[in-house]
Amino acid sequence: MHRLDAYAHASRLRHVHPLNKFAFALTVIALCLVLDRPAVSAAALLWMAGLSLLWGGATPGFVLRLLAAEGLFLALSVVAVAVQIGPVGQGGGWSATVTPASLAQAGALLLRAFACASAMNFLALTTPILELAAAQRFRAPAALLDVTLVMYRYVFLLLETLMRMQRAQESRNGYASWSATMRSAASLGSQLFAASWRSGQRMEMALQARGYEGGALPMLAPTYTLSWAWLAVACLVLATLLGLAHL
Amino acid sequence: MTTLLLEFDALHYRYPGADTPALRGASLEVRAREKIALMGRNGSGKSTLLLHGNGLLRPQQGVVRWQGAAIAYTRQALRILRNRVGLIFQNPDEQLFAATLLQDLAFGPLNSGASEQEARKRVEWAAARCRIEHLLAQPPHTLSGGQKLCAALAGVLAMRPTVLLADEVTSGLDPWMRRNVLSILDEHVADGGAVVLSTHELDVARHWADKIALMEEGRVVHVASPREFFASPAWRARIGADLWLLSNATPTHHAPRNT
Repeated sequence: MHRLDAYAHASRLRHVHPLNKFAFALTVIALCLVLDRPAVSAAALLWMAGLSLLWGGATPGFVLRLLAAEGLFLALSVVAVAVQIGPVGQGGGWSATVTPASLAQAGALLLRAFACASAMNFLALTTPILELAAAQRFRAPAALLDVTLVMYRYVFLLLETLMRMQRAQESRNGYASWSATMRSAASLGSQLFAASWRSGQRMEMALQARGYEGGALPMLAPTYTLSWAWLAVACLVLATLLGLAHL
Repeated sequence: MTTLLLEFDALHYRYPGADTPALRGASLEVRAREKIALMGRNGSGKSTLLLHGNGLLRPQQGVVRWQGAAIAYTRQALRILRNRVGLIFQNPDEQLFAATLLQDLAFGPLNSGASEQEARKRVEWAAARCRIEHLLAQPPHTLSGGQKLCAALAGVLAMRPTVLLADEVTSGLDPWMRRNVLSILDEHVADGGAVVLSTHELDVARHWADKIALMEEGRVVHVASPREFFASPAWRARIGADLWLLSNATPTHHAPRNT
């Protein structure tokens, strides 16, 4: 999560309005689903991975690891499509068969799912999740966005606290045996809750110290620039996908 | 004599459920262009006193004054006080909450009623003063401890306070980062402000501060220049300056060791 967030903040496409990137990624996904052509899915996969790498600034290793993790999950999901299980005759037996048609169908499905995942990866690697939420500022209740914002920061604080506590336990053999692990994990859970409660109270005090009096958290609206290069590439990607629809 | 800015007058405060009061008649005056090192043992009331300066705690007895006028503790009066007296917390992680430093630094000015344009100007100024302009687009969790502290400092400076109350902000920093933080505080004083820095660091108190205020058991028991403090064996002992001489190398209990 840390690395994904770091790439999103460092992305060279961060200045592009989040809703533009969101709409682009959704259009790519919609084309993959509606056109239902392996060539379109393959092109979308290559385009989105390529944009994340070359323009977004993510490293090939990270993009590949992300795709591999998703691929494993997707591959397991399409096994049910590739392998057809059914009853044999009247005897009550069952058989599992794999046919060229079912394999082709599973392959096409896997490729399509991969392309859609790649489009979502592109969005995640180029847009900090909070900017996407903030872009909806006028459509979502302010309180909901404020909770999202504070929770986002809090998740990282909690992760750091969790790691610190776990290291402290481990350094004193807290995870040396099954029973020690159970004991440590239980105390970690309860202490983490207490620590986050205290930390929350101090954070509230710090907000008040800077003049917060309750209500919506005042925030600066982020500024974005209109990039003609980005628009041209986005149009080129969509044109390619539409062009491949007849193959 | 320079202008009297902030005045703590005989403050008493007991936290709910606590057996003993945290403050028992603490008094301190903060004047323009002063650099005060607030010293004292853990639990002597330093942080509690600083929380009163920003209006986060209200004294149960005694008065906090700004330029001679008692703080009223109405919403409006607190808003004005917090624009005048900035408080920097010991742990910057508890101060930084927004998704990016730009958003975080703008939080105070926007609360004070500044327009977005004015808030951006103030953020740029504060970030430049704290040498973190290049980090404005970053989320807080990607920063080092020293950078987080500078960001927390900039978040308070962006509110343009006159008095800065800093709660042990130099502890745990490397000498270079500590120098950086102290020079930011120096620039604030050079601009006509004042700083109260709570600290256990003797060298900071001795070489950076103009005055040392010593707290013991909820009271400010002595205020003097570092030269006076360190020249007097009695006061030097009470700020713990000679404790290293007393280290006892002979264990009183011999513990078994794993070999």
